[in-house]
Amino acid sequence: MTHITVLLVDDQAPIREGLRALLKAETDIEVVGEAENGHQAVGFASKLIPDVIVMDIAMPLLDGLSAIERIREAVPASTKVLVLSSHSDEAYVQHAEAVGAAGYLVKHSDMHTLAAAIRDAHKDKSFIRPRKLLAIESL
Amino acid sequence: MSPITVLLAEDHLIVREGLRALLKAEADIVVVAESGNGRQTLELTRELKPDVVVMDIAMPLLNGIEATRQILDDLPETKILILSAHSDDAYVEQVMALGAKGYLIKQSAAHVLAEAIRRVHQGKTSLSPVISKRLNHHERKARARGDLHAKKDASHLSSREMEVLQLIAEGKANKETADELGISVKTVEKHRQSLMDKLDIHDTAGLTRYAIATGIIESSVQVTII
Repeated sequence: MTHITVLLVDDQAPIREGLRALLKAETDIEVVGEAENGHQAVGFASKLIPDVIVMDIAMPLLDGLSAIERIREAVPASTKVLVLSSHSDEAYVQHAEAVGAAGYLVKHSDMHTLAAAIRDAHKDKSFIRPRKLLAIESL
Repeated sequence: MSPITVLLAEDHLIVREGLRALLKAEADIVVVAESGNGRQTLELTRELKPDVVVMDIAMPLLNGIEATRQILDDLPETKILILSAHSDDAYVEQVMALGAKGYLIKQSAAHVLAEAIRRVHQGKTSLSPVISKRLNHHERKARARGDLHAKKDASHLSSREMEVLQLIAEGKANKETADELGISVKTVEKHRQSLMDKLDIHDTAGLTRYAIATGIIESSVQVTII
Protein backbone atom coordinates (compact mmCIF):
# COMPACT_ATOMS: atom_id res chain seq x y z
CA MET A 1 0.00 0.00 0.00
CA THR A 2 1.19 3.54 -0.76
CA HIS A 3 2.59 5.39 2.22
CA ILE A 4 2.65 9.18 1.92
CA THR A 5 4.88 11.23 4.22
CA VAL A 6 3.69 14.77 4.94
CA LEU A 7 5.25 17.95 6.33
CA LEU A 8 2.72 20.41 7.81
CA VAL A 9 3.60 24.11 7.59
CA ASP A 10 1.42 26.68 9.39
CA ASP A 11 2.29 29.38 11.91
CA GLN A 12 -0.78 28.58 14.01
CA ALA A 13 -0.11 25.68 16.35
CA PRO A 14 -3.75 24.60 16.88
CA ILE A 15 -4.15 24.29 13.11
CA ARG A 16 -1.00 22.16 12.78
CA GLU A 17 -1.96 20.02 15.73
CA GLY A 18 -5.55 19.74 14.52
CA LEU A 19 -4.48 18.69 11.03
CA ARG A 20 -2.08 16.14 12.52
CA ALA A 21 -4.89 14.72 14.68
CA LEU A 22 -7.23 14.52 11.70
CA LEU A 23 -4.65 12.96 9.36
CA LYS A 24 -3.99 10.24 11.94
CA ALA A 25 -7.23 8.64 10.77
CA GLU A 26 -5.79 8.25 7.24
CA THR A 27 -3.82 5.00 7.30
CA ASP A 28 -1.82 5.79 4.16
CA ILE A 29 -0.74 9.28 5.30
CA GLU A 30 1.90 9.97 7.94
CA VAL A 31 2.83 13.42 9.27
CA VAL A 32 6.61 13.35 9.64
CA GLY A 33 7.19 16.95 10.65
CA GLU A 34 5.74 20.38 11.40
CA ALA A 35 7.13 23.83 10.63
CA GLU A 36 5.82 27.20 11.82
CA ASN A 37 7.32 29.52 9.19
CA GLY A 38 8.71 29.45 5.66
CA HIS A 39 12.36 29.27 6.74
CA GLN A 40 11.75 26.26 8.94
CA ALA A 41 9.74 24.67 6.12
CA VAL A 42 12.67 24.94 3.67
CA GLY A 43 15.04 23.44 6.26
CA PHE A 44 12.74 20.56 7.20
CA ALA A 45 11.85 19.86 3.58
CA SER A 46 15.54 19.55 2.64
CA LYS A 47 16.21 17.27 5.60
CA LEU A 48 13.09 15.08 5.57
CA ILE A 49 12.32 15.02 1.81
CA PRO A 50 8.61 14.38 2.49
CA ASP A 51 6.29 13.21 -0.28
CA VAL A 52 3.91 16.14 0.24
CA ILE A 53 4.19 19.50 2.01
CA VAL A 54 0.94 21.15 3.17
CA MET A 55 1.84 24.84 3.14
CA ASP A 56 0.10 27.93 4.57
CA ILE A 57 0.81 31.29 2.85
CA ALA A 58 0.66 34.02 5.50
CA MET A 59 3.51 33.20 7.88
CA PRO A 60 6.21 35.18 9.67
CA LEU A 61 9.90 35.32 8.56
CA LEU A 62 9.24 33.80 5.14
CA ASP A 63 5.79 33.48 3.55
CA GLY A 64 4.59 30.23 1.99
CA LEU A 65 4.89 31.27 -1.65
CA SER A 66 8.53 32.37 -1.21
CA ALA A 67 9.20 29.15 0.68
CA ILE A 68 7.82 27.11 -2.24
CA GLU A 69 10.25 28.87 -4.62
CA ARG A 70 13.19 27.93 -2.39
CA ILE A 71 11.91 24.40 -1.89
CA ARG A 72 11.63 23.91 -5.66
CA GLU A 73 15.32 24.85 -5.95
CA ALA A 74 16.56 22.76 -3.01
CA VAL A 75 14.33 19.69 -2.84
CA PRO A 76 13.72 16.96 -5.47
CA ALA A 77 10.64 17.39 -7.67
CA SER A 78 9.21 14.21 -6.14
CA THR A 79 8.25 16.35 -3.14
CA LYS A 80 4.93 18.02 -3.98
CA VAL A 81 3.70 21.19 -2.30
CA LEU A 82 0.01 21.69 -1.62
CA VAL A 83 -1.04 25.16 -0.48
CA LEU A 84 -3.69 25.32 2.28
CA SER A 85 -4.60 28.95 2.84
CA SER A 86 -7.40 31.23 3.98
CA HIS A 87 -6.75 33.43 0.93
CA SER A 88 -9.29 32.65 -1.76
CA ASP A 89 -8.27 35.20 -4.40
CA GLU A 90 -7.46 33.74 -7.82
CA ALA A 91 -4.26 35.82 -7.86
CA TYR A 92 -2.86 33.71 -5.01
CA VAL A 93 -3.84 30.48 -6.79
CA GLN A 94 -2.06 31.60 -9.96
CA HIS A 95 1.00 32.73 -8.02
CA ALA A 96 1.16 29.37 -6.24
CA GLU A 97 0.96 27.51 -9.54
CA ALA A 98 3.64 29.76 -11.04
CA VAL A 99 6.13 29.08 -8.25
CA GLY A 100 5.66 25.33 -8.52
CA ALA A 101 2.88 24.29 -6.14
CA ALA A 102 1.08 21.07 -7.06
CA GLY A 103 -2.27 22.38 -5.85
CA TYR A 104 -4.20 24.93 -3.82
CA LEU A 105 -6.91 24.41 -1.21
CA VAL A 106 -8.70 26.98 0.91
CA LYS A 107 -9.26 26.42 4.61
CA HIS A 108 -13.01 26.26 4.00
CA SER A 109 -12.36 22.78 2.58
CA ASP A 110 -13.10 19.73 4.72
CA MET A 111 -10.72 17.01 5.83
CA HIS A 112 -11.77 14.55 3.11
CA THR A 113 -10.88 17.13 0.46
CA LEU A 114 -7.48 17.68 2.03
CA ALA A 115 -6.72 13.95 2.29
CA ALA A 116 -7.81 13.42 -1.33
CA ALA A 117 -5.69 16.39 -2.48
CA ILE A 118 -2.63 15.01 -0.65
CA ARG A 119 -3.09 11.68 -2.49
CA ASP A 120 -3.64 13.42 -5.84
CA ALA A 121 -0.59 15.63 -5.38
CA HIS A 122 1.48 12.56 -4.51
CA LYS A 123 0.24 10.85 -7.70
CA ASP A 124 1.48 13.89 -9.64
CA LYS A 125 -1.96 14.79 -10.98
CA SER A 126 -2.48 18.13 -12.70
CA PHE A 127 -2.69 21.31 -10.59
CA ILE A 128 -5.39 20.95 -7.93
CA ARG A 129 -7.66 23.99 -7.82
CA PRO A 130 -10.29 25.19 -5.33
CA ARG A 131 -13.57 23.57 -6.35
CA LYS A 132 -15.62 26.74 -6.71
CA LEU A 133 -13.03 28.37 -8.95
CA LEU A 134 -13.18 25.31 -11.19
CA ALA A 135 -16.96 25.62 -11.33
CA ILE A 136 -16.73 29.30 -12.29
CA GLU A 137 -14.22 28.56 -15.04
CA SER A 138 -16.38 25.84 -16.55
CA LEU A 139 -19.37 28.20 -17.02
CA MET B 1 -19.00 16.20 37.19
CA SER B 2 -20.68 17.30 33.97
CA PRO B 3 -18.34 18.24 31.13
CA ILE B 4 -17.88 21.78 29.85
CA THR B 5 -20.03 22.26 26.76
CA VAL B 6 -18.36 24.19 23.96
CA LEU B 7 -19.51 25.78 20.72
CA LEU B 8 -16.77 26.27 18.10
CA ALA B 9 -17.31 29.37 15.95
CA GLU B 10 -14.81 29.52 13.10
CA ASP B 11 -15.42 30.03 9.39
CA HIS B 12 -12.67 27.70 8.18
CA LEU B 13 -14.13 24.20 8.15
CA ILE B 14 -10.82 22.38 8.27
CA VAL B 15 -9.71 24.46 11.28
CA ARG B 16 -12.97 23.68 13.11
CA GLU B 17 -12.57 19.99 12.37
CA GLY B 18 -9.02 20.11 13.70
CA LEU B 19 -10.02 21.94 16.90
CA ARG B 20 -12.80 19.44 17.50
CA ALA B 21 -10.35 16.54 17.01
CA LEU B 22 -7.95 18.13 19.51
CA LEU B 23 -10.62 18.79 22.14
CA LYS B 24 -11.86 15.20 21.83
CA ALA B 25 -8.81 14.20 23.85
CA GLU B 26 -10.03 16.32 26.81
CA ALA B 27 -12.39 14.22 28.95
CA ASP B 28 -13.99 17.24 30.67
CA ILE B 29 -14.75 19.19 27.46
CA VAL B 30 -17.47 18.35 24.91
CA VAL B 31 -17.93 20.21 21.63
CA VAL B 32 -21.72 20.38 21.24
CA ALA B 33 -21.84 22.35 17.99
CA GLU B 34 -19.87 24.16 15.31
CA SER B 35 -20.74 27.31 13.39
CA GLY B 36 -19.21 28.91 10.32
CA ASN B 37 -20.37 32.50 10.74
CA GLY B 38 -21.47 34.92 13.44
CA ARG B 39 -25.17 34.68 12.70
CA GLN B 40 -25.18 30.89 12.95
CA THR B 41 -23.21 31.26 16.19
CA LEU B 42 -25.96 33.45 17.66
CA GLU B 43 -28.68 30.98 16.68
CA LEU B 44 -26.83 27.94 18.03
CA THR B 45 -25.87 29.69 21.26
CA ARG B 46 -29.49 30.69 21.91
CA GLU B 47 -30.63 27.15 21.13
CA LEU B 48 -27.96 25.09 22.92
CA LYS B 49 -26.72 27.50 25.62
CA PRO B 50 -23.16 26.14 25.69
CA ASP B 51 -20.95 26.96 28.68
CA VAL B 52 -18.20 28.37 26.48
CA VAL B 53 -18.15 29.76 22.94
CA VAL B 54 -14.72 29.59 21.29
CA MET B 55 -15.07 32.48 18.87
CA ASP B 56 -13.07 33.55 15.83
CA ILE B 57 -13.31 37.25 14.97
CA ALA B 58 -13.11 37.44 11.19
CA MET B 59 -16.25 35.60 10.08
CA PRO B 60 -18.72 36.34 7.27
CA LEU B 61 -22.23 37.80 7.73
CA LEU B 62 -21.60 38.78 11.35
CA ASN B 63 -18.13 39.08 12.82
CA GLY B 64 -17.07 37.65 16.18
CA ILE B 65 -17.06 41.04 17.91
CA GLU B 66 -20.70 41.75 17.13
CA ALA B 67 -21.68 38.14 17.81
CA THR B 68 -20.02 38.48 21.23
CA ARG B 69 -21.94 41.66 21.94
CA GLN B 70 -25.30 40.11 21.02
CA ILE B 71 -24.68 36.83 22.87
CA LEU B 72 -23.70 38.63 26.05
CA ASP B 73 -26.74 40.92 25.77
CA ASP B 74 -29.04 37.87 25.60
CA LEU B 75 -27.14 35.29 27.62
CA PRO B 76 -24.67 37.08 29.91
CA GLU B 77 -23.70 33.86 31.67
CA THR B 78 -22.12 32.51 28.44
CA LYS B 79 -18.32 32.61 28.56
CA ILE B 80 -16.74 33.86 25.34
CA LEU B 81 -13.18 32.85 24.54
CA ILE B 82 -11.79 34.59 21.45
CA LEU B 83 -9.41 32.51 19.33
CA SER B 84 -8.11 34.73 16.56
CA ALA B 85 -5.15 35.08 14.23
CA HIS B 86 -5.19 38.81 15.01
CA SER B 87 -3.87 40.42 18.14
CA ASP B 88 -4.46 44.02 17.05
CA ASP B 89 -5.42 46.35 19.89
CA ALA B 90 -8.63 47.31 18.09
CA TYR B 91 -9.92 43.72 18.31
CA VAL B 92 -8.67 42.90 21.79
CA GLU B 93 -9.92 46.04 23.50
CA GLN B 94 -13.34 45.90 21.86
CA VAL B 95 -14.15 42.31 22.77
CA MET B 96 -12.75 42.51 26.28
CA ALA B 97 -14.78 45.68 26.89
CA LEU B 98 -17.86 43.81 25.68
CA GLY B 99 -17.29 41.14 28.33
CA ALA B 100 -15.39 38.33 26.63
CA LYS B 101 -13.53 36.28 29.24
CA GLY B 102 -10.49 35.40 27.21
CA TYR B 103 -8.45 36.13 24.11
CA LEU B 104 -6.01 33.64 22.63
CA ILE B 105 -4.02 34.14 19.49
CA LYS B 106 -3.97 31.17 17.14
CA GLN B 107 -0.23 30.82 17.54
CA SER B 108 -0.94 29.40 21.01
CA ALA B 109 -0.32 25.67 21.50
CA ALA B 110 -3.37 23.43 21.52
CA HIS B 111 -3.07 22.45 25.20
CA VAL B 112 -3.34 26.18 26.03
CA LEU B 113 -6.78 26.22 24.40
CA ALA B 114 -8.14 23.44 26.63
CA GLU B 115 -6.71 25.14 29.71
CA ALA B 116 -8.19 28.48 28.67
CA ILE B 117 -11.63 26.88 28.18
CA ARG B 118 -11.45 25.56 31.76
CA ARG B 119 -10.36 28.93 33.13
CA VAL B 120 -13.08 30.99 31.45
CA HIS B 121 -15.66 28.39 32.46
CA GLN B 122 -14.63 29.06 36.06
CA GLY B 123 -15.16 32.78 35.44
CA LYS B 124 -11.46 33.57 35.25
CA THR B 125 -9.80 35.59 32.51
CA SER B 126 -7.46 33.87 30.07
CA LEU B 127 -5.22 35.89 27.76
CA SER B 128 -2.26 34.98 25.58
CA PRO B 129 0.85 36.35 27.35
CA VAL B 130 1.59 38.79 24.50
CA ILE B 131 -1.90 40.29 24.80
CA SER B 132 -1.87 40.44 28.58
CA LYS B 133 1.44 42.31 28.53
CA ARG B 134 0.20 44.81 25.95
CA LEU B 135 -3.13 45.45 27.67
CA ASN B 136 -1.32 46.22 30.93
CA HIS B 137 1.04 48.55 29.10
CA HIS B 138 -1.81 50.42 27.37
CA GLU B 139 -3.79 50.69 30.58
CA ARG B 140 -0.84 52.20 32.40
CA LYS B 141 -0.28 54.70 29.58
CA ALA B 142 -3.97 55.60 29.39
CA ARG B 143 -4.15 56.14 33.15
CA ALA B 144 -1.10 58.36 32.95
CA ARG B 145 -2.89 60.43 30.29
CA GLY B 146 -6.16 60.30 32.20
CA ASP B 147 -8.08 59.27 29.10
CA LEU B 148 -8.91 55.63 29.79
CA HIS B 149 -12.54 56.08 28.77
CA ALA B 150 -12.11 58.77 26.19
CA LYS B 151 -11.37 56.48 23.25
CA LYS B 152 -13.58 56.83 20.15
CA ASP B 153 -14.54 53.73 18.21
CA ALA B 154 -17.49 52.06 16.54
CA SER B 155 -19.05 51.06 19.86
CA HIS B 156 -21.46 54.00 19.71
CA LEU B 157 -23.23 52.24 16.84
CA SER B 158 -26.25 50.10 17.74
CA SER B 159 -26.08 46.31 17.18
CA ARG B 160 -28.28 46.66 14.09
CA GLU B 161 -26.07 49.43 12.68
CA MET B 162 -22.99 47.25 13.25
CA GLU B 163 -24.68 44.38 11.38
CA VAL B 164 -25.65 46.65 8.49
CA LEU B 165 -22.13 48.11 8.41
CA GLN B 166 -20.55 44.64 8.16
CA LEU B 167 -22.91 43.55 5.37
CA ILE B 168 -22.29 46.79 3.43
CA ALA B 169 -18.55 46.24 3.81
CA GLU B 170 -18.94 42.65 2.58
CA GLY B 171 -20.39 44.07 -0.64
CA LYS B 172 -24.07 43.26 -0.02
CA ALA B 173 -26.70 45.45 -1.73
CA ASN B 174 -29.49 46.96 0.42
CA LYS B 175 -31.93 44.28 -0.77
CA GLU B 176 -29.53 41.45 0.17
CA THR B 177 -28.88 43.08 3.54
CA ALA B 178 -32.63 43.41 4.13
CA ASP B 179 -33.17 39.72 3.27
CA GLU B 180 -30.26 38.65 5.46
CA LEU B 181 -31.53 40.59 8.48
CA GLY B 182 -35.24 39.99 7.88
CA ILE B 183 -36.06 43.71 7.74
CA SER B 184 -37.31 46.03 4.99
CA VAL B 185 -35.07 47.79 2.49
CA LYS B 186 -36.37 51.07 3.89
CA THR B 187 -35.17 50.12 7.38
CA VAL B 188 -31.77 49.15 5.98
CA GLU B 189 -31.55 52.56 4.31
CA LYS B 190 -32.44 54.22 7.63
CA HIS B 191 -29.71 52.30 9.50
CA ARG B 192 -27.25 53.02 6.71
CA GLN B 193 -27.93 56.76 6.90
CA SER B 194 -27.75 56.74 10.69
CA LEU B 195 -24.39 54.93 10.85
CA MET B 196 -22.98 57.16 8.10
CA ASP B 197 -23.99 60.21 10.15
CA LYS B 198 -22.50 58.78 13.34
CA LEU B 199 -19.21 57.85 11.67
CA ASP B 200 -19.20 60.92 9.44
CA ILE B 201 -18.40 58.69 6.46
CA HIS B 202 -20.65 59.20 3.49
CA ASP B 203 -19.70 56.65 0.83
CA THR B 204 -19.57 52.85 0.64
CA ALA B 205 -15.84 52.71 -0.11
CA GLY B 206 -15.17 54.79 2.99
CA LEU B 207 -17.36 52.51 5.11
CA THR B 208 -15.56 49.44 3.76
CA ARG B 209 -12.16 50.97 4.55
CA TYR B 210 -13.40 51.86 8.03
CA ALA B 211 -14.72 48.29 8.59
CA ILE B 212 -11.38 46.79 7.57
CA ALA B 213 -9.33 49.28 9.61
CA THR B 214 -11.34 48.68 12.78
CA GLY B 215 -11.42 44.90 12.43
CA ILE B 216 -15.15 44.61 11.68
CA ILE B 217 -14.22 42.61 8.58
CA GLU B 218 -11.00 41.28 7.08
CA SER B 219 -10.29 42.32 3.52
CA SER B 220 -10.25 38.65 2.43
CA VAL B 221 -13.66 37.95 4.02
CA GLN B 222 -15.34 39.62 1.07
CA VAL B 223 -14.72 36.63 -1.23
CA THR B 224 -15.78 33.17 -0.12
CA ILE B 225 -14.60 30.09 -1.95
CA ILE B 226 -15.70 26.44 -1.36
